[in-house]
Amino acid sequence: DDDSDSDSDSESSDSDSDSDSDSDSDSDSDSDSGSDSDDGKTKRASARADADDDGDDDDDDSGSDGDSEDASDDEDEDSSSDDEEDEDFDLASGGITRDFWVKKADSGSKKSATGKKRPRKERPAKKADKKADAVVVEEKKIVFTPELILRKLKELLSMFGRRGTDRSMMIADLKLLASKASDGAALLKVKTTLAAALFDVNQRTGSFMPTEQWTECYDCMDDVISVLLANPNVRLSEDQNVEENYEDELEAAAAAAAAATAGADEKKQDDSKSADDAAAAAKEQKEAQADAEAQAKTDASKGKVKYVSGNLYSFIKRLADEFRKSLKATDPHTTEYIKRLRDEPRLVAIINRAAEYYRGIEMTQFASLCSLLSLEHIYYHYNAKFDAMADANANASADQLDQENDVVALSRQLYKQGDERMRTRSLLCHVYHLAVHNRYDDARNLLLMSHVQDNITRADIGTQIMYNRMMAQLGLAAFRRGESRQALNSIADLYQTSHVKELIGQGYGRRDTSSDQQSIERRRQLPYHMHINSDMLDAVHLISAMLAEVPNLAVHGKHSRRAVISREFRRFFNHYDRQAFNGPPESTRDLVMAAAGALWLGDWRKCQDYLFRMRMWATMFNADKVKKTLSVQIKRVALETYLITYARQYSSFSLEHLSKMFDLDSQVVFQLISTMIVSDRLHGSWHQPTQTVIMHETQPTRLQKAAVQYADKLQFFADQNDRLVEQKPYGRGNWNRNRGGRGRGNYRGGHRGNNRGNYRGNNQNNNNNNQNRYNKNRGGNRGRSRGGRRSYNQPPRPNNNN
Amino acid sequence: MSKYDLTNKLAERLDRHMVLPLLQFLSEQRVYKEADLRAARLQLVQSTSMVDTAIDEYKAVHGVQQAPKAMLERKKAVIQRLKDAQKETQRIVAVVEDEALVQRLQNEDAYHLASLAQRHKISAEDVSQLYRFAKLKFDCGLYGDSAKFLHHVRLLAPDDDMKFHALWGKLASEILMLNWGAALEDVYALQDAIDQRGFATPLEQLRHRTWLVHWSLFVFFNVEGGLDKLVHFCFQDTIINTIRTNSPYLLRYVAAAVLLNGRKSHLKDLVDAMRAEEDEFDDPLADFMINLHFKFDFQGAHAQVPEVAKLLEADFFLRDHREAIIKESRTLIFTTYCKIHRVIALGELASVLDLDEQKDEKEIVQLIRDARMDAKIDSSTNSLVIGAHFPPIYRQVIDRVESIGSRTSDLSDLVDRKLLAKETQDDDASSTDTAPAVSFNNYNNNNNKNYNNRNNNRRYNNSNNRNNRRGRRY
Repeated sequence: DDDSDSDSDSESSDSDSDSDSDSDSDSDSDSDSGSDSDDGKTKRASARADADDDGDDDDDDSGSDGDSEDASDDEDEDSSSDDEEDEDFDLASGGITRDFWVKKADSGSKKSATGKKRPRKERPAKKADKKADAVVVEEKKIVFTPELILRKLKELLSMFGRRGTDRSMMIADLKLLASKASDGAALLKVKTTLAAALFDVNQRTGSFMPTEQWTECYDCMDDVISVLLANPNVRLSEDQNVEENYEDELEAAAAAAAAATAGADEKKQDDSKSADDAAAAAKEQKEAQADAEAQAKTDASKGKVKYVSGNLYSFIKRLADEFRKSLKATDPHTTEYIKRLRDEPRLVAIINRAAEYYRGIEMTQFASLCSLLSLEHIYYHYNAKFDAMADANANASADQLDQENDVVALSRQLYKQGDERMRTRSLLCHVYHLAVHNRYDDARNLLLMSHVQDNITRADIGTQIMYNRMMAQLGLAAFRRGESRQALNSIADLYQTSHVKELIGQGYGRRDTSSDQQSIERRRQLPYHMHINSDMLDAVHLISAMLAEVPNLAVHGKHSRRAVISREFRRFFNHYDRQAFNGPPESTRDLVMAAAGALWLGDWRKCQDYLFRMRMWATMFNADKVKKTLSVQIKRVALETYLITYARQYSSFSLEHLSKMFDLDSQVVFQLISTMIVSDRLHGSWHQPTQTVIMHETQPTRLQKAAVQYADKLQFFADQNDRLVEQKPYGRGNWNRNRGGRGRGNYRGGHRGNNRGNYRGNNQNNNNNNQNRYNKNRGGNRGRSRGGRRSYNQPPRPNNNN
Repeated sequence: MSKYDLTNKLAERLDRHMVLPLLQFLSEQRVYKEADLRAARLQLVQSTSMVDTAIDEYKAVHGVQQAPKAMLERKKAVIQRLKDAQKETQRIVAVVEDEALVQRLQNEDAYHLASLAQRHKISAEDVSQLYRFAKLKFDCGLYGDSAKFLHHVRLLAPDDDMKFHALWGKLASEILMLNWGAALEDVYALQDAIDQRGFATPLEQLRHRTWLVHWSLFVFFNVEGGLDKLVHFCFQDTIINTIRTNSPYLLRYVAAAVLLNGRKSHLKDLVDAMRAEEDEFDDPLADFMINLHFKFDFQGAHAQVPEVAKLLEADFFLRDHREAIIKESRTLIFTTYCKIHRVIALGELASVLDLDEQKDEKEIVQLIRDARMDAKIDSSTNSLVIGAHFPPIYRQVIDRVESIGSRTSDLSDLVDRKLLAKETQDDDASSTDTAPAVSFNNYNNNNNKNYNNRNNNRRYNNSNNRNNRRGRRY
């Protein structure tokens, strides 16, 4: 049969002429941008005109290809999707189909240089369609057998990525095919190709997919999954080494059919053009086809699975990526962003569907990947239902809160099925989720059990960002719970450098990086709705540091450089302290510093006022409860600071007076002072009958003071000597250099033992190395967060008395 | 009362054979219905191969004279299996039971699989058969044999896996034979083995440690001076973290051991651990400690004492120590109270300790004597006056500089040694012209290691901070 033989040739010329006509119509309707619906018709008309003209046109086409290409490309960008939809609509009505295919047949026939052949060829095809009636009607559909579709598809595929290929036309063609394909596998084949084509329309890096296009992709993926679910015997090859057997099979069938039709054709050519013969030929063809189909069916019943190349997960992932990209490109303060965000549940739904599908066919690997993807889209959502601090759930146990919680369910599933990376990521999501919902204990336990801190440095940067985010969120949770020391422990590491925003994927600074570098960093950013409120993070960090540092400073003296808990806070506080005049505080930092100044003087009311003026309270859930616990903490710290600072000036403190002064329950004051006595921070003891604390301390004489100082220095000296000897002369040769780099920071590192001695210095040295930028907090995290567990209520710096 | 009962939790992580004594104890307590307990015991015994015991239990539970046929058949089967296994392992058993031979071989340093294979035709297969035989014996309740065999399996086993499991089996056997000394050694050996063994996941390692801690309770509560050892054992980083992570209820035993420990070492660590896990378990002993040492709520602490007594009464391990614990806890209240006070009205003290002021002056005096405190009763003001217990400032100075001298001399010794080493190295280098750095390094490393060890010990004693810096490790 001519049709089948010359098809590929005809197709390419066909699309050429199409694009040509496209540009023609473009120029026609240039002024009228709204005439999209006309576009199709005009095009059709011109296509017809082309076809009816003689073959010279072909040559012209190829000549003018380069010119017309540009024009049509431009047009795609603007109205491609509209155009496509339009096309789709028309195609469905059937009329255009014919034209479309007729045209192809035309050009085919043109190639074979027999213009008259056209009607003859058309007819048998149509008759085949309606052979039972044997009525020849002009406007009839062609039967879209799988072979035909496949053939067409192959042609389209061969044009993929070729220069001068009009993508929007290809997409239109693919859609047409999709609307016609009936067989599951064929449909799948077409759809996956279509999806790939859709994704490829926009190839410029850095740009994102417009919403309409995304929706289209979404629908396409939705269809793919539906097809997959409806046809259990058809599958995508999914990267496995499964030979794509579907195509081969179809080819065999097509060959058989072709042979049959060829036979019929011969007959047809020999005989006069009688309708009966043609019908007979068609019948034969049909039979051959039926054979092939029967074959396919038996295959299916035998449980043989047809594979079509493609990977559902990669499509879904791409879809999710595009979604994220578009969010990042949108201004987060517009309604557009919110509108866009509304698509997220749909996205999660389709991911879940894919996961379910994979689970159904027992491909756990991909099911887990999908689950992870879905998890990463929902883990940061706040839901009051799961909030341990919300009123309704005040007494709910952990198990109750875990029920119906998708995040928990997904991560648990991933712990069982996922590989190392998936487990790590899902764990980070899980901890983050628990932290967001004020379940600090559970979150912390989970984190500590996982040992994720130990090898987070080996993870990819995306995961490290997740880790940093998780730590930040954990710190916030601890703060909300009133455990400011724990909060400081988890947050402080992020603040060791000034790149906090970078570390949690919410900003990219540093002008000195190349544009490549910047675009890489931009890719790591998270969309706005996932951001952690960085003002709140700042505030929590500083407040926690304040609560820990103020009594510590009281012990060691305001300008002491010993026993640093938070370098950051010290820096700001010193700066604040040095100012001759401080204006009324406005920014978060100013407010905390002003509060710290008040706290230093024991004025807890003022301190509290300053802190409660912060903006962050408006955005915090359960702010009232948090304020309450914070208030108690402030009072306690104020009392402690007061006692330490003024102990020397008192021979006794009255319990009642103190409790009034700091608005604390006398039992609390008793407990606090007792703790201080036991831990030797306050040199006094209770006089029970009068309810006072008697201070033992007498002002040491100058000699005594000097003796103590001398002892301290000696001890420090001995420690230094120890440390010097411990250093190996060779091997870890860079310690010396690194120490120079950061002074006290290294000192702390060295304190922990030889093997971890120089992590800080290392990072400092390699700052330009990108990988390391995200590692910055590795040593610190490890030490701190593991230490965090055990340093409950640890006094800032116990005296070395015993 | 049963709410403090830990049998359920403990049983999850004990060997079946070890649960039996727990159940026995419970039926002595008469907390639960005897019938339930008997049924539970029967079920337990039936899951082992202790067929005779099972039959006896069955008869007792169902009040019948004749055990069902199935059980009798099972008994036959077990005996048959024992016989078969005995036959299979005949050769190797002959070797290992020949003590003189084993002794000789060991002296020759030839008691290992390779030499046995040569001289006595014993293969790896034989050893694993012996291992299985020992397991079967254990299952039948013949712990003595299993301990003996497993000891040899450990020496001979070709792969570490089997050695490791044999060690577990041996510990179980020793425990069940009440052979505490040997069991204690096994506990330590097993701890090392768990530390050093590569586990697929940290979780797996954690699980092994959890089991070890549970099993070791039997040992520590029975062996001589075991409670001090228990304290020492439990406050190793890995172990305390295991307890906190997986089985906070065990803190009860740790607390008891700390209380009974004369020096009350690790009291602070204990209270910290208890506070951290407070939400996760409910235990009057923990409440007592927290009330006393964190909240300084002495009345609250005292109110817990009767609850604690109830708990002790019903606890398998602590029952024997109940009086001592109660006494210690009262003394602890008193000492803590005195520690933060200088003057206490006797009336207040009496109310805190729940004593009658008039009658119990004697009691208070007794407490003072027990606690060996510098406290005097001042009858004129009717109060107790506690002597100043703050070290004078010179004491502080002395404490701080005390160790510096010895440390420095150690240091200078070390430096001398290093210098010496370097000189010899240099000499070597000049004479032989080889690269000195490598060997010098090795020498130094060795030196360093020794020194570090010493150093670590010192640090361990001196600073709590060191522990705090480390996180949970298991």
